[in-house]
Amino acid sequence: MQGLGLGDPQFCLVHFEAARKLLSSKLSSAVIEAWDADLLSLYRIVAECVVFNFATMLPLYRTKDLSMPWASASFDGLSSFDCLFYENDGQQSSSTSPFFGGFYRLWNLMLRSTVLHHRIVLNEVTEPIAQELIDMADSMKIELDDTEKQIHLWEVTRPRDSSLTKLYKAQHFLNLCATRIYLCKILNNTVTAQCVEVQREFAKAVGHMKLEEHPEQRSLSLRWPLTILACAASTDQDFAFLAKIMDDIASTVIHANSSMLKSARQTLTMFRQRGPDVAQLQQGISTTLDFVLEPRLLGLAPSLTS
Amino acid sequence: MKGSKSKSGCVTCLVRRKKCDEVTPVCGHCRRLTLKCVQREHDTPVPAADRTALTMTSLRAKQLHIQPPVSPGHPRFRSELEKKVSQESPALLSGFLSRIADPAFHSVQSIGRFCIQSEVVREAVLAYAAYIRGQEDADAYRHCVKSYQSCIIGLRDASIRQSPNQDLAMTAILFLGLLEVSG
Repeated sequence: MQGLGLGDPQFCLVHFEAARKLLSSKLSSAVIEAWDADLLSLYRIVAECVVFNFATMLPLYRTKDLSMPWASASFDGLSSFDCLFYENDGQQSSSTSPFFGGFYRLWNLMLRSTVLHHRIVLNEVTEPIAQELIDMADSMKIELDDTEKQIHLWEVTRPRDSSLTKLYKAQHFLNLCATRIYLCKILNNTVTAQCVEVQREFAKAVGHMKLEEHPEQRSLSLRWPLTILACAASTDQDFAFLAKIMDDIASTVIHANSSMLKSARQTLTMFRQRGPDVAQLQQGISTTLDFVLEPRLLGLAPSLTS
Repeated sequence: MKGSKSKSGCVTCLVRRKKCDEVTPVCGHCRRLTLKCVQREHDTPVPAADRTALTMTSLRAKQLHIQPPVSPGHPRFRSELEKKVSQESPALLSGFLSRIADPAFHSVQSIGRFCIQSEVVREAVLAYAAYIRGQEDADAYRHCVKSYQSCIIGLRDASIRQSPNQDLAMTAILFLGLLEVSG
């Protein structure tokens, strides 16, 4: 309570970590089938809030600044929450609709990507650890492929021309492709926006956004994936397309996310026009895609820099 | 015609003058209100020295941690604003919802129920509502800070973090976290 600074993203992580512990304790001791549907909705909201906020806020912190057990080998990717979102056969529940606007699995994968990045930075890369991290990355790639299939499968069972179907597909591909680009950069920090794999995913995401439906405004879930895609834009035309969407969303979402979107957009615009400044070069930023590993350098709120 | 008095109901219900359902080891009233259920020993004459234990005053003096009776079991609303926000709380998260979110998320009745049951949840919901609705209003911001602080104090009470109150603590913390996200 000292220096109570409302709106500090660091406090949000503290709160959601406490929520995580309470929910995990609850899930480990109770039978999910005994809950009523309304209580289950509340638990899903809590779980999605935890995973979503960790997935989108943790990249803003340097590994050494984190006191939470995210970088430790015991972190299980919040698998204790799976029972809220998956049927017994491992398939995502058809009755689980996104709260913030994304597959739960995608947020989980995005969070695990950040954990992987922190572990790579934190640990000396001895052979056993390197192999373990490679296995983690391979597992995540398989899950991303499976999630893409599920998006297509979901679409088949819905009215094709429905605006909600289009929106669902566009937003999920935005998140999916952004996560793949993020993971690609984590595994090879020399990758640039011109890399074939990055361009393939970028084209897929933007293609869906242009053909299907523009992302909905006031959606918090789009800030981080949009930022990743903006960093991966190789042409000015592509960047201008994403910058317009970022501006539209920044004008409607609430404060912290709005300022983050605006800062990211402005920093990337200046970088594209003038190249990296001395401070950015010192932090290892020489291309736009490098910001993906150091998003705090996109000019974020002072409370986040340390 | 008056009903016969129970001879085996718990002491807590006896003191509170409630009809005990005589469930052991914890009766229904005590379980619902998280009171200490003090069972009577049957057919055992109460020693004179212990007879004084059967009053609220002496129970508190003996630090048996029996909560004073409340009716109907939930804390009262302290203001009309508190009552209004609590009533509106099931739909308070709609600002975060995506158009493609399940309709069930638009009104989560559990939140309203927890607001009624717990002052800590109410404080958290009040803080969040005050912050969201009055970001340009200094009075609303002050109200938000005050509610936030009260909620944190309430959460420091270890009992709220233990079963069966974990849902209450979790709901309160959810709103505090969302308040920070909204900042």
